[in-house]
Amino acid sequence: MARPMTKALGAVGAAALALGALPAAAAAPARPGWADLPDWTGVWQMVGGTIFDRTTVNDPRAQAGTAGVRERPPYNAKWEERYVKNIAGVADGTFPDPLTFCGIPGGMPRMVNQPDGYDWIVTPDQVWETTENAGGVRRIFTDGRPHPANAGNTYNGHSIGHWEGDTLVVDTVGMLEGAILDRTGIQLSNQRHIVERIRRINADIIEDQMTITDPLALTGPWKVTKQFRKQPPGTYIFDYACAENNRNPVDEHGRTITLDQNGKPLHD
Amino acid sequence: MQTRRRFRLSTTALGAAGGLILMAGASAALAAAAPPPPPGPVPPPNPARIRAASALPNWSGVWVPMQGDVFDTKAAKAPAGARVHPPFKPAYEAKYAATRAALRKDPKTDPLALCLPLGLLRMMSVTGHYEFTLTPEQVWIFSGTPPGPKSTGAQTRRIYTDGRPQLSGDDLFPTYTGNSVGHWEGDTLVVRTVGLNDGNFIDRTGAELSGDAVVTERIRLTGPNTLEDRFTIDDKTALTGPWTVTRTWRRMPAGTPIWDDSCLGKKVNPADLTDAAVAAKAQGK
Repeated sequence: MARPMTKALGAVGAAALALGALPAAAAAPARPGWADLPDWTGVWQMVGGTIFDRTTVNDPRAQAGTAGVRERPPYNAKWEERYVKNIAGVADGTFPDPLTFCGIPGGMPRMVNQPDGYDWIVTPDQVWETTENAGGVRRIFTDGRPHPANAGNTYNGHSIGHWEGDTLVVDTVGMLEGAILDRTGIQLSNQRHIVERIRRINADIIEDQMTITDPLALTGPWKVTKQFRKQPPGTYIFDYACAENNRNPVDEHGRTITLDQNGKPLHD
Repeated sequence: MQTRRRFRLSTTALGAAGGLILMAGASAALAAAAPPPPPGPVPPPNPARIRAASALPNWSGVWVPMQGDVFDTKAAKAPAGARVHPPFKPAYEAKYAATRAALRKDPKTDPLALCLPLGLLRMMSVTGHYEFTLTPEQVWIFSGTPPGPKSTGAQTRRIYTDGRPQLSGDDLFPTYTGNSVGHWEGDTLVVRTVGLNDGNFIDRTGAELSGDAVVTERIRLTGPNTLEDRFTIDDKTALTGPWTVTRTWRRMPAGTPIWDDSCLGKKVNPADLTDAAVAAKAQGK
């Protein structure tokens, strides 16, 4: 099957972003036809639990959010210290999962580390990844556009991709600092850069091989692979309403409040 | 996420909620021990699917609404105090009046203040961006607004066009966006939606329909960059007859940026929350 080769816009775009300029000569790739695109239809579910990097977790049977569970990102000393602090916070309840406040997206790369259903929607111009959990929507532009100069500080960042045969190569920059990667308390800086190679490796599995670099937080590239298993035909993804019966809404100043049984704020 | 066969709250609750929890818990341990599934053959290209996909109309890109955020307004911006005019039965008109009064008194009585999903119909009158994503088996409609104090967060509808029947009986339970099945009549997508939450706000003015609402839509391009959705809403409990509303969208130029949505906005950046929680702890509060 013939597939158009496209330019590696990802690297160009990221370099341009660092220089504060747009790539001048990024030729638009030939628009692929449907015959050039792989079939990723159906509902998918992440394989394994929500430990982000299962290859380095201290207990392979552990679950994210349990006290003492940690992974080994190639952190520098400063960010290792921060992680250790977060791990202690997970243990004593002072490091809550931001997703539990509702209305906050998982962000990247947590968007590929969530339970429940996933859509991987492939079209000629764009790929969408949606998560049932927290109702996330991530857009991967495959129409040849570069990263914009102002890609900064959003939950999912800005993702551009191109096809190399059946592999979607994605380059993501501009993510918000502070979002966690999983409930052990892993965080990265807003300088992180994620390159993904996403491919359906067999009838049942879509695999996402990530290489994460972060000049502020990491001493070298961090490689993590996530897999997604195809669910039986007729599987549904439903609305996700995190805030139903929310007893801890967040006020306009960002403070978490606790409601009594009548829905009135309790005063501390 | 659930397969239709397995979803029966009363009889096979384990298959529904418990099964998923069990699966999530067990799979964490199992997957850690088991080697990752090896590469293997993927299903061969399906010529019928490729033909069907290639025949779909081009609704790609980012769209913005041509009417304001009051569902049946024809104006580009709904005037202050505007209301919708469904053929309400008296009980639902009274309910609407009470809700509007409550909203005037306290805007936080709007479920959006808690970041609840907007659902259908409200997600179709958001003043923000829209995407209409077509594949042979399914259509997704995304709407939302970028992060900010009044952001809606990401809204997603799933419309099944693979020929599956509408959910019914025990399999149909109320949700924000309901159960939507669609089919193509030429270049018109015809969608029927049932199973909507009883009493969901249908737009920002607080009008409500009942759980008996049936929403039929005919969506098509009326120009190269104009998309029209003709809604016919029947509701034997709330309405005296069908309510028809037409809304339209304009396509933005190719390459128009679109960002992810966050209902809570940047004021509650998780890092701030975390630091605040840690600081409060340190100060013994």
